[in-house]
Amino acid sequence: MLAIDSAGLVATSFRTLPPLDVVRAESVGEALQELRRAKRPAILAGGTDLPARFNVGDYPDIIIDIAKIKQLHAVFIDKSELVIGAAVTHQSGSTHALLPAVIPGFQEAWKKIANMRIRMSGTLGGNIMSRRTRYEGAILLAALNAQLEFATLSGPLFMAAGDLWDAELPVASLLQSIRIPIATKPRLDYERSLRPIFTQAFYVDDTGAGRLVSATEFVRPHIWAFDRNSQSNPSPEEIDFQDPVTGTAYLNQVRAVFFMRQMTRLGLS
Amino acid sequence: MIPMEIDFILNGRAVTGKVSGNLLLADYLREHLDLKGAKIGCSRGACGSCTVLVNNIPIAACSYFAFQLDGKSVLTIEGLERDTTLHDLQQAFIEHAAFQCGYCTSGMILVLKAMLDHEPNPSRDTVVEWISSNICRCTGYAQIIAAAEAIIAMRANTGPTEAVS
Amino acid sequence: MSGAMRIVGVGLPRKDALEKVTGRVRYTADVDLPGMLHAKTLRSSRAHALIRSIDVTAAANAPGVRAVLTSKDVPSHYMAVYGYNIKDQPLVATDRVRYMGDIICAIAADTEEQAAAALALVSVAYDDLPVVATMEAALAADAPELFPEAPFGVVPGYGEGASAVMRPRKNVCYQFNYTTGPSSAFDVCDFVYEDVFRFSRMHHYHLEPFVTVASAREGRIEVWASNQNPFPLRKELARIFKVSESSVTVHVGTLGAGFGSKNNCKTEPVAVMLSLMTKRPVRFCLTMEENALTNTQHAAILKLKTGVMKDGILVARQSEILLDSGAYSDASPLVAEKAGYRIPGPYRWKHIDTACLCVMTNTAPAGPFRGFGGTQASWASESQLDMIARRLGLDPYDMRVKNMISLGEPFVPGESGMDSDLKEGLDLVCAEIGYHDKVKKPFFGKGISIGFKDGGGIKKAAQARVRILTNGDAIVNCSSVEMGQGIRTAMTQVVGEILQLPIERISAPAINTDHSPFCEGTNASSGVAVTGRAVAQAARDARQKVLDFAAMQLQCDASELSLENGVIVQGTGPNAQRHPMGPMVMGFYGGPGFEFTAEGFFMAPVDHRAPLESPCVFWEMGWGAAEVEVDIETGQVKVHKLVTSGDTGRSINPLVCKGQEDGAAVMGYGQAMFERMIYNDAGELLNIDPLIYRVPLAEDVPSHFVTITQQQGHGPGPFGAKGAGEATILPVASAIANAIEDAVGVRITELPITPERVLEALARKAKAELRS
Repeated sequence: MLAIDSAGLVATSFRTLPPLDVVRAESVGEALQELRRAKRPAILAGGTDLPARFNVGDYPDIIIDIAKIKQLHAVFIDKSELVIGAAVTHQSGSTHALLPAVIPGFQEAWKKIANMRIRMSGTLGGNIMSRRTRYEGAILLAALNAQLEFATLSGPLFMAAGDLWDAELPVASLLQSIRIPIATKPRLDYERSLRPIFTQAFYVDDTGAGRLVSATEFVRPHIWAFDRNSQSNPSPEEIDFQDPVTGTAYLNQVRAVFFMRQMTRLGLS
Repeated sequence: MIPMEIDFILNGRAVTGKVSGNLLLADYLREHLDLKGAKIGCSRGACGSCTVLVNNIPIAACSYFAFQLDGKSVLTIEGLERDTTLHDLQQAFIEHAAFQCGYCTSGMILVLKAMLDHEPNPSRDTVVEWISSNICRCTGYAQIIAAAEAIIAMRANTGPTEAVS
Repeated sequence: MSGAMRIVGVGLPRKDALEKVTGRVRYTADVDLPGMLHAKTLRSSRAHALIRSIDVTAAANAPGVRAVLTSKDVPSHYMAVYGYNIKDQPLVATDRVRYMGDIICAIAADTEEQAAAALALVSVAYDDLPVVATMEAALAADAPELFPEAPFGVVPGYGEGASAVMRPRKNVCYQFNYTTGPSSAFDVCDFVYEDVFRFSRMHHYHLEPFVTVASAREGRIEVWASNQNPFPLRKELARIFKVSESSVTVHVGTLGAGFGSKNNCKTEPVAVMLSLMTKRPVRFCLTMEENALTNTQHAAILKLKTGVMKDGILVARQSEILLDSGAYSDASPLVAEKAGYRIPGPYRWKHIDTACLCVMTNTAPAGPFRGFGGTQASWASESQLDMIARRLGLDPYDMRVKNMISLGEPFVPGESGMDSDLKEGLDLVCAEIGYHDKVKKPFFGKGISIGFKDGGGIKKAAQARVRILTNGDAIVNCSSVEMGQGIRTAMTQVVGEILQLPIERISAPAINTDHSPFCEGTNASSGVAVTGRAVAQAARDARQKVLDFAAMQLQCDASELSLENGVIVQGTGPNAQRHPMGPMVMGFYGGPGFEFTAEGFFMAPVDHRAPLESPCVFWEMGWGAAEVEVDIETGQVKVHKLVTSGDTGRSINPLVCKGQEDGAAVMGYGQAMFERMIYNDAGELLNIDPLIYRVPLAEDVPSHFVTITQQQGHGPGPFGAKGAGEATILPVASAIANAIEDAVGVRITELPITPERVLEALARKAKAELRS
């Protein structure tokens, strides 16, 4: 529903979408130029989240279709990073042969995101750029300490996946790839049996460093740095979740329980 | 905002169309091409009633712009019959009463078609995983699963009754 | 008769199968008339406010706009309010808005896009009023009054022990009461237990939205509606727009489901009004978000005081039920009757005293929902029964068996007899989950429940017409709406069995109130048990007309003749003579042929001794059993087995009946475990997004999910049939809650059974054990 400040609510949908322009960018540079010119652009890759935006009255005046930009579809290893192009679909990415070896647990987690219909056209980039924990990509990528690589007119911009929520991105910026460090042999465990009430990703690597990312469908992920070698923070501190539906005491309880179970599954306790 | 010309395959036939940028596939099919088999439920990509196959991938037509069809092939429920012979999925849905109100049925059948094309011998869990893409509020899913399992068993014995495209 | 076709009781392909699997079926959402305009509405963003002013000037001049409707545009001689027995919902808001989503202004434009764009130009000045988003808030002494002036309404007639009153207290639009037996019965009880249960509210989530296409011209109003009760709708539209009822035509084809919501006025009045203003057809189709703001299930608080003897014999029950009716009464008074009437469950009592109140809140209007008060009642009643059994140290199974009504025994004085063997059903579901196995795994538990409701409606009347055509083909005209439940299939099978005619030769056309026989509506599982009886009578009478005609032609007695696949069969056995109908009919009536037409009628008898003035047509029973495993660290409940069973009496089409029972059980499962509308105290629906509002997906259904369709044969309908489709939603939540107590000794009294609630209950139990 579109909320009009001075009046009320209007139920918008794709059927109420005003006329708009379409650009099918052939290159990242072309996409950036279009973004620079646009007032209310929408970037189209998989498109699965776009109607959700129309339904709240968020109408673009131009669609910049990036599906044809080849480099956004690649999955490869670049030195010590697993690089996933922003337009890689959940299905092609999560079944990529590289995954199981470089990050045990990531494939299983990624394969559970969304459903088959969404997985086959929804992209990892679109998932995270929608800034909804409900879509889960942000939780996994924050746990994996992924860096988001944006193309901008003044060159590449890097940002930790967990920082996306508060980030003010340049108007002309395009998520190019998601870069996950793999030098320290990360392992991931993702607990989503309580979804959508609560999900939790736990990452740990060979150095003993780890990250615990906890989220509900309504609030952004909470990231807690874990260090196996330190005795000072053996268990996660309480979080003020402020979830509108589920109580904080409960969420902290399951957070602690899942943490212990994930420690066990990752062979840490 | 000039209409775009697109070339695509619609249910096996080459088509050229003129579409405006803000036209979603659901409206293009239903209002412009009079193919009303894709139903509009949630307009949000959640229910899957408007599912069609684009390049054999199930997509919600409310979440897909008409211009994106350019150069691709779309299959709607209307294209599933071959010369008035029902697809074996349609036949199985009839035999197992795998629908009630029918509003989700086009989408469910097409999701299952995509599944069978991608995984010719799926397990029950795979069937459940695929049909969990879409919502059926009527059946409780049991008879949909039964229809799918019947086809899987039949194809294991005899092979598909028609070439899968 | 040997060699007779078996049509009833066979899982034949549904009549609508081909059109549904090919996508050729057309719903109201697909109706497209030449020159049709599209309507969109501006809805309140405030939960409760006075409307100081509305400015539509800019909107009226926006591109494509053909009409702008606010309350000022409604002619004063219209009665522009609607509802069931209480007419309190305005066509568009007048002086105030009562919930987030209340319609303030509607626009008809050439496209939906233009209508939406124009609505964005409307401005409204509100004066906010205090919001009551919960029943507690609405009943507080200082709560604002939602309806300062009493809306027009009526209390229907009731029979022995039942009564009702409108506006008994502030923000209660209706209260239903039922009493039988002396209250002194409580005095002899060994124990009296008081427990409170809370029931959450679901959105119907029918996939075809609320949608109407209206065309008003030359003094006639014609609507294509996605509606479960076309005839009451016709009457209501005639009343609102002050036209003769005969100048209103309602077309109802196939519905993309309803689950109760599509009763009475929803999108119809606004569409008609805009069509009157523009003299063009107008389509008014809601989005899924708007559906959730239009009609919902009733949340409830149920307080039960139950007196028992120490051996588990039930004696007396006093209940107070609060139903969250939302901002407008809709069908709330009717739901209150049923929730109140059904709260004792299918057991023997010496005393029953029930009050059920419809509490108005600043939330979406609540109305009919599959189960219709029975779901709320069964949740509380079957939970408390289990609790009492455990408190007394009895097996909940034994306690149920000890108290249950026997086959043929009336539910309460003046009522019809129970038409299912309750123990037979209970034993079936118990066997399926191994209820009586003594081996108990830690954290595993089993629970059972008997859901209960009266079916078939109150004083419900239906007509039907069966027409046998020249060659023996048949048409059945009746006004049971096909909304997925397979009623058109069932009706053709009933006719087919009587005429011994394959259903391929029988059509059951869509409803048009100008021509279709009257029917009160498609609700209360009444299709087969009420309308079906009218259909069966019409079929028998039409057959008799054919046989009488043939007897005249063959100069024999009609009793020597039978009808079989369009052929008159004279005599029996190998010497029987077969006379195809066609030549015989054309021989007499000439080339154009003829139709043999008969009318059928059924109405549940009226009897003042019955509390609801009409003895129950049939009892719709739903047995349930569940096996669960509880994770005591997280409160997660895994339902390993879910078994439900209904008794159709006789399944006209077993495949269709099983589908209905599967679907109802899964709907109940969603409600038990996770599904609910979540409102905050400001009256804002937090999970209005169709993705965030969680309905069961295939992956949510328990791996061991079984429905058992019983055909006990005691139904009053054709061939011993009862109604079906609601039974198995009734027992699910209580069976699961009962299984949880069996597993870990805690009682969940509030739906849905979230892991948080389970964990809180476990913590309370641990604390209590520590103290003692």
